[in-house]
Amino acid sequence: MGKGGIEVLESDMTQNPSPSTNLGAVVDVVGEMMEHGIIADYAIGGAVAAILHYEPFSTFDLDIFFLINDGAKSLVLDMSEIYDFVRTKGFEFDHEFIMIHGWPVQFVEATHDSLWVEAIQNAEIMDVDGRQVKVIDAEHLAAMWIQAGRRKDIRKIEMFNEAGKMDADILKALLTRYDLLSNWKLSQHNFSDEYQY
Amino acid sequence: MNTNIKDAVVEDLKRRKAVMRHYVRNLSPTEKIVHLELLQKRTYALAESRQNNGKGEINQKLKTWRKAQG
Repeated sequence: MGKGGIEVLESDMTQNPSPSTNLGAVVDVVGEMMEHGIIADYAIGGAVAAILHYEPFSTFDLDIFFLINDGAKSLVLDMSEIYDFVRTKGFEFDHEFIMIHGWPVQFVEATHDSLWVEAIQNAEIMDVDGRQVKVIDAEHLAAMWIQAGRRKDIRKIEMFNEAGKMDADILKALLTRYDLLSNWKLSQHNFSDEYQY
Repeated sequence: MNTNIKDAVVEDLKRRKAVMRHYVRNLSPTEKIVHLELLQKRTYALAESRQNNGKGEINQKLKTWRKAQG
């Protein structure tokens, strides 16, 4: 084998080694969806995003927020493309979840919500299992959780607060821009002084 | 248990918990996912054991997770 061949082989091995986690394998599938033009962009959200920013706690499913290539396409058509793709891969379904490499994955179409779109477009890149994975940043997660307003969402904001994960100025600007400041004020008694707006 | 000993045990547990949390917070993203996937397996095994001993049914989230394992 010539030098060029060795270089190609080494390059292939370093760029895409077999994942050691199930999540790494899921990210590979999402990458294939992007290569096929089924989704335009994505970012991990929800509890798994919180864990990647903070510390492991008990959760059993994975939220993938995604954008479609053509905003004019109907959501039904877009989801059917995702379902068709995963069906060809042999993955099973259970209600809203697609079972991919050991993870119940929920694909959340984000195009209709400008906060969610911005969250995907501004997502952090993290190295997970040798893959460059897009993860919604702490401030956008907090804004999305205050938007949802469930007790378990407030608890996750409290965790970020405790760990000093959120920039108070960036968060305030975000909440103001998306008209979520009043929602925040209803729950801000749970957070420390720097987050009292 | 003597109150002083009880307090010392509680303090020691708190200290160990703080050390563990400091450790897991400073893991790499990959290591956090490795811990999470291990936690999922252990949680399911515990829930399955409880169910087998007649102490409550495995909840739907865990059942869905189990299904995803193939």
